[in-house]
Amino acid sequence: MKTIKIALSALFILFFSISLFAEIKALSVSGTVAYRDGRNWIPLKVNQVLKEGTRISTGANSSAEIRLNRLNHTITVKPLSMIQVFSSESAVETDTHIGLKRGGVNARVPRDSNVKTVFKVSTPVATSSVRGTEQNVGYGAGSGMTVEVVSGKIEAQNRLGKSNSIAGRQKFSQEKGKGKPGHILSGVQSNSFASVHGNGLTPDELETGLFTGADQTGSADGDTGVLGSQAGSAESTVTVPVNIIWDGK
Amino acid sequence: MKNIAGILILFLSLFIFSTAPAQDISQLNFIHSLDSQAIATYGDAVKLFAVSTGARAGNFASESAFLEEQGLALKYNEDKSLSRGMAALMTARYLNLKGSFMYLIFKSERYAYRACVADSLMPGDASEFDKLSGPELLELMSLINDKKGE
Repeated sequence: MKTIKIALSALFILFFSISLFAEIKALSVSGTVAYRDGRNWIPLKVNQVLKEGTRISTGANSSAEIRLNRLNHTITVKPLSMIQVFSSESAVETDTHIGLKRGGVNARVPRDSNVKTVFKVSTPVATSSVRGTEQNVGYGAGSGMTVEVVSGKIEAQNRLGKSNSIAGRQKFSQEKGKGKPGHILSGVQSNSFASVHGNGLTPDELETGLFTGADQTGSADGDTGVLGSQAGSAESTVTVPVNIIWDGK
Repeated sequence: MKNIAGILILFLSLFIFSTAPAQDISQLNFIHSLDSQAIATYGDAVKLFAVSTGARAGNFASESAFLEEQGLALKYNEDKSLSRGMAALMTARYLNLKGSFMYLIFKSERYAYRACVADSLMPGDASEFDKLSGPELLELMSLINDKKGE
């Protein structure tokens, strides 16, 4: 009796720990989308099931929505992208790996507390890991990898092991050839919640400034970039006087 | 007579469905080849902008004519190496960028590049004379698509 119990337990453990290839399925296709089969690129169709390790490429104004496993982990492949998909799953865990060579993906990974989830998007310069979240990941030759969180929290790590945990409007950015990722607030540092103009402007200049806006505050580094360089280092404390005139009518 | 019409429609639909994917794959083949080019050409930019703005894939002349109608074409030869300034001017016209006051006055490649920098479409530490590689052109088009989608 004891032997049977042990054998059953062993079978049970074996059954739940075996990783099987997950079903990778195209849910929707728009425009020109193809997958690589051998040396050929074949147009991707809706409901088509893809093999583990398949490469998918999208053309201009084209996209595809791909379901990666039974937990509805889904990605939308954006225009002009090329990815490679690996996905395996068992009853207790899922392991998904997206290789992003170019372009961008939106990844939606719903949380299931009963299943251990590994979901990674890798580019030539860094990798992001997500669980129970939604993120936009992009990679390009010039700007490198960028990760923006739509909901939840993610961790991204470059090839040297430098990592950032980001949420909200923070952004992970890793340029090719740089040792550490960019500042996590780089996506919002040029955006002020009110118009910012220097003192001593004539009404005409102010009007021009309001019209051209971005010439005043919208350069790549913006006003905060100038502030950072004046302060000397990112760790410095800077006092910024803000006068808010409340019109209490 | 009815049978012949039915057969004709069947052949016509078979023809349409069998040729459409081949055209699509040629667009992807162009993109894959562009992805490995060290320097992109004006012809590459014309093709990419043309297919992105809804033109059917064709030759340089037809795509240029299409972009001319959209107000995006420039006066260069197909084989001319693509500079940041050239790509920036096409981009600024396509997205109707207003990020540079100087660009609003002088619609030049120089200030179009500044307008692209202001909208985070191009890096601020480069020059409008830099040559653009194929992967950089594809990245620019991805950023343009994101901007269009905002």
